[in-house]
Amino acid sequence: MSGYHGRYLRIDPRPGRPGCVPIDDRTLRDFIGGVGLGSWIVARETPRGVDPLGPDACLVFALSPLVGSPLTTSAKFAVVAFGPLTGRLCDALCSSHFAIAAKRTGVDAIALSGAFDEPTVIFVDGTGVDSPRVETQPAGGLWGLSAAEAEARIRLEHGAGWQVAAIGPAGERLIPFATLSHDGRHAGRGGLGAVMGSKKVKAIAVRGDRRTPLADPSRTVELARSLSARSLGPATEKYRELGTVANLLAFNRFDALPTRNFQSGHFEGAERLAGHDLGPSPKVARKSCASCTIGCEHIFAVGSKGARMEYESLFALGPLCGVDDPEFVLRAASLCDDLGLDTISTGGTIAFFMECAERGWIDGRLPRPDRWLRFGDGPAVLEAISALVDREGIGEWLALGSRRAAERIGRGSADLAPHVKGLELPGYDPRALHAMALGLAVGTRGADHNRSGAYEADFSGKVDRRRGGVASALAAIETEDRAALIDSLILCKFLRGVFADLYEESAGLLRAVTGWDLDADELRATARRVVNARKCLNEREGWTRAEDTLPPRFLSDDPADDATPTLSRGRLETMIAAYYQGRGWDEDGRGPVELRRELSLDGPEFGPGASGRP
Amino acid sequence: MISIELFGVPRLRAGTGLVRLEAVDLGSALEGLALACPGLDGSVVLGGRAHPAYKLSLNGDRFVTEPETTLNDGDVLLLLAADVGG
Ligand code: SF4
Repeated sequence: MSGYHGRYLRIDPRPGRPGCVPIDDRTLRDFIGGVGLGSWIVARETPRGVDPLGPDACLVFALSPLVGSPLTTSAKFAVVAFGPLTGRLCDALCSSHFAIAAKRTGVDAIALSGAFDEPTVIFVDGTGVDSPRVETQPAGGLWGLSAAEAEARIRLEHGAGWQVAAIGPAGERLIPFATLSHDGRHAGRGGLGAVMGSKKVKAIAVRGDRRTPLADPSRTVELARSLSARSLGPATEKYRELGTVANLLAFNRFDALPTRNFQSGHFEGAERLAGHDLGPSPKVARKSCASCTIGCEHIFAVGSKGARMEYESLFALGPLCGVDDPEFVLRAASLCDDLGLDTISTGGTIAFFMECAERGWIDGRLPRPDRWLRFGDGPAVLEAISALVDREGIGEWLALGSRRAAERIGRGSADLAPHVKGLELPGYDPRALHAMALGLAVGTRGADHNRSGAYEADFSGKVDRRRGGVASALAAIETEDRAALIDSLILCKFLRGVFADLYEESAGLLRAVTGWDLDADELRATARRVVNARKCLNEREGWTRAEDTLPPRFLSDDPADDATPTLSRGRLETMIAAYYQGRGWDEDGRGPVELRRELSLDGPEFGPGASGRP
Repeated sequence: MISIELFGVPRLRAGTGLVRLEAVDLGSALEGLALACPGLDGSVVLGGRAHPAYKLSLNGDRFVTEPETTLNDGDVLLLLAADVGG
C-alpha cells in the first residue's frame, strides 16, 4: 500500500483493548488523513454521549499519506477528540518530527482511550518490528514540568531518536483550554491537552523505521520541487519576512482587530505593540517546522530571552486585554507556552473577566495583593494566567473558560462572553468581516478561523465584507471545504496562496504518493465529506440549531452604517440559512439521510440523520 | 492628493507606512509609489498594477485592481498582502 500502513494503533490500559486495527482502502481514500481520518477514528472509538474528560473518550493522533514524503510542510499531525470546552468535535494541528517518527512506527494513527492509574509516559516503538511495541513508564518527576522540559528530558534519558508530544501543567490540571505540543508547536485549540491529561498521560514518545513506499517516486519528487520553489515566492513572503504578527496593523486599519473584549475593532495602541520592525520587538531568530521551506515562526526578543509570537497570541494577550506593552504580551505568550495554554482562549477569558470587572459584576481581585483585572494592565494578565492554572482565587473561575464562567457570573454577562459553542473567538471582529462572522457561527469546532478561513472571502474583493449575504455564505462554504482538504492532506495553510487550483494539484500529489486514480472532483467530495462528518458527530452528541450563532454583543438590530461596522441579527440569519442550503442541509441545519448516504456517512458511528433515520 | 498606507512586506520594503502623492487613477498612483519607494518597484508594484501577491483597498471599502480606477482627492489606498490572516 503506497502512502499508508493501512492501520491504526489503539492504546488503552483497559484489558483486551490494545492493538493494531486495520483501515480499509476505501476509508483511507474517503477521509485521506489528518482531521478527516482522525474524525473517522473518533467516530468509531468514542461511544455516544461521551464525557470528553472521561475514560471512554478517545484522543486520536492522525497522520497522512504525505507525511514522510519530500513535500514541503507535510510533516504534520492532527489531534482529534471531543473537546472539553465545547463538548463538540475538536481537532487541532501540530507539526514537525513527531509526525514523521509516528508514521515510522508503522501506523497511520494512534488512538488513545481509557485512563492510566498514575501519571504515565507512553513509548511507541516501531523499530525492527512489524507491529509497534507499546511500553509505559511512570511519568515520575516529569509531571509538573512544561511540555518542552518533559520532551527534552525524555529525549535526554531515552535517546534523541524519540520524538515526543507532551502536555504542560495546564493539561495535567485539566484546564479545558490546555494544549499539547511538540518541538514548541502547539495543537492549540479546544483543550486537547486536557483530554490527554485526563488519561494521566504526560507524553507520548514515538520512533520507528517503517516507511511507506511512494507510488511514483520520481513524480513525487518533481511535484515536491515545484511546490518548494513556489513556497519561496511572493505568495508566502509575508510569513517568511514577518510572520503572522504583520496582520495586526492591517486588521486594525480595517476595524477588525478585537479590542478590550470586542468592545471595539480598533486599538489605539496597535503601533506601539506591533510597530517595531512590524513586530512586537526586535527579532532574534526565525524557525520552521520539519520539512518546511517557508519558516514562518519568528522569535522576538523579550529581556535576554526570545519568545515566539504569532498574530493570534499577539491580539489575544494584547489588544483584546487592552495591553499595548510588547514586553508583557511576549511574556504572557511565553508563559502560556510553558504552562500549555491556548493563547486565544486564555486571552479571551481574561479579557471577558476584565470587562465584567469594569462593569462591576465581579471585583476582579487577583490572588496577589494589590493587583486587579483591569484592561491595559500587562502584569495583571501575567498574574491571571498563573492564577488560572493554579485555580487560585479568581483563577478557579478563569479556568472554566468564558462560557462556563459567564454561567456563574450571571448578570447578563453571557451576552459578552466571547465564544461560540464554548470556544473563544479568534482575532477577527465579526462585525467588520461578515463572511467570517458566518464561519465563526457555524463552525463545528466552535469560533474558529482555521477550519473556516472565511476571512479570505472578506478580503477577496468578491463579497462585501460589511454587508454579508448569500454570496458570503457560498464563499464561506468554499473556504471551509478547502481548509478541510488541506487539513486532511495535511499541508500547511500558509501554502494556500501558491496553488493555482488546490483540488487539481492535491489530486496530483495524492496520485503520485498513493497511486489512486483520483481527480479534483473526488477531492471536492472528500472535503464535503470531512465537513459533514464533523457535523454528524456534533449532531450525534446533541448539537442543536441554537448553537450556530454569535454572542449577542455582536448582533445589532440596526442596519449597517458606514462609520461603525455592525452585523444585524437578520443578516446573520440570512447567511446561516444560505449556508445550510448551500451545504444541502435542512433549515434546522441537519444533513438529510440521502446526503449522508452520498457521502458514505450513513454508518451508525456517525449517528442518526435528520429524517428517515437509519 | 491621495494617500497610500502600506502594511506588512510593502511597508518593510518601502521603509515607511505612508506615502502621499498626486494621482487621478490607480495606475498613476502605483507608478508614483514605485518612484517614491524604489524598493517596491518590480516586486510589489508591476507597472500600474500591484503584484498578484498584494492587494489594494480603496478607503477600506472595496478592493480595486484596475489601473483605470478613478481616484479622488483625499482617497486612501491600503496596500497589503493578498494572503490576509493566518
Ligand atoms: S509555514 Fe510555518 S507553520 Fe507552516 S509548516 Fe512552515 S514553519 Fe510550520
